[in-house]
Amino acid sequence: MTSSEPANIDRHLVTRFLNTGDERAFRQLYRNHTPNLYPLALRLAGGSETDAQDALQETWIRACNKLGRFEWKSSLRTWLTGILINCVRESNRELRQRREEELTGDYTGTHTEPSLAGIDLDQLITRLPSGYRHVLTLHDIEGYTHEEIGRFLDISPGTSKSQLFHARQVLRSMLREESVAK
Amino acid sequence: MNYDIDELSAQEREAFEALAGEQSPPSFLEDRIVEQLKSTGLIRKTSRSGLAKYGQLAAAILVAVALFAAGAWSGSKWSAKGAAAVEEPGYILIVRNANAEAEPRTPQEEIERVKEYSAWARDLGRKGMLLGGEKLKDDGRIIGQMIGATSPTETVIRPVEGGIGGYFLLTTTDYNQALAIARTCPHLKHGGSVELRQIDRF
Repeated sequence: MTSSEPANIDRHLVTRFLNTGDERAFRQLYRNHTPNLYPLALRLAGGSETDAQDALQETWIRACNKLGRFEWKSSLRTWLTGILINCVRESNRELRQRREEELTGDYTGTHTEPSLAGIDLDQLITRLPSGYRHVLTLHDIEGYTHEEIGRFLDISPGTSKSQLFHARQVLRSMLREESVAK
Repeated sequence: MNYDIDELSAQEREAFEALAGEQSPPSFLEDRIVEQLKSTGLIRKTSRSGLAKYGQLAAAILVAVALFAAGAWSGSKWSAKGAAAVEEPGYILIVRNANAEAEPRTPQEEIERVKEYSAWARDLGRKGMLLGGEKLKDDGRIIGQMIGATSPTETVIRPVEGGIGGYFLLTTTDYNQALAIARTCPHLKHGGSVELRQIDRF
């Protein structure tokens, strides 16, 4: 399969869905993209399955409302990711603020490299302040560029880099603490 | 501060990559979202009794129409440039919708079918045998008026097996040649049917 074929499939399904409201076309779109979106939703929502599911539901509803205006300047996956991020940020604002208040300490610590052996990295990521967690997840796990993250989060690429830097610092400090505790 | 100098170690990179795998959402979520979309009208509602009555056709018809559209468009575009100078069609090939079982099962299968239809129409155009073709939407109306009635009535066309999905206009005026073309239509291989009618000029 060439790299353009998934995009062609997306276009075909979207056209069918827009023209006819075809349930099968929607289900196929859902099945093509949700396995990638779901783990992202979980991390962005701090590990809450309920929040992740609600965010995904809202994502698809918003996406279906706006599909007719989607101009295919990015991949459908990237577009859906942007919507998902907005949904999570909107629905999780209060929780995020609470977590940021809890985790604004100085985590810079020493520069020895912490060990990842036996540590639940996913669990640690969910404990990051949401701003850090979002940038780290999108960059280090999902592979998006700082430019793309900037567009998703409505921040500059420089801010994204800065957030990533601090997110990694915090995560490494948490790893060190976990290593010591073990 | 230069944030670019902060590189992940190999171990960290590996650990993050391991997190990036796909994870299936709970199975109930898909149905929950579909129901929500139906309630807002974004997904068309279909009644089970209606589907049974009409042979479970809605999706299949739409696919057939979509497939036809691609084939007809490609053929007619080519034909407009390269066909022989025949200005009037001799036959019309009416494409009728297939049943649900004939529907492509995957997007890839659907794309392959579109390619197949396109190639067929393009080949006819290249030979100067195709004047054009169009797809038809399935949400039309039949307008009729009873004798003695004061105004016409409208009946919504419902998607049924054998409903008209589109048409091809053939340049040939020879019945056997038109029949030969009709028999090669890929729609037949996929559970659909075609109706061949000669255009009767006054």
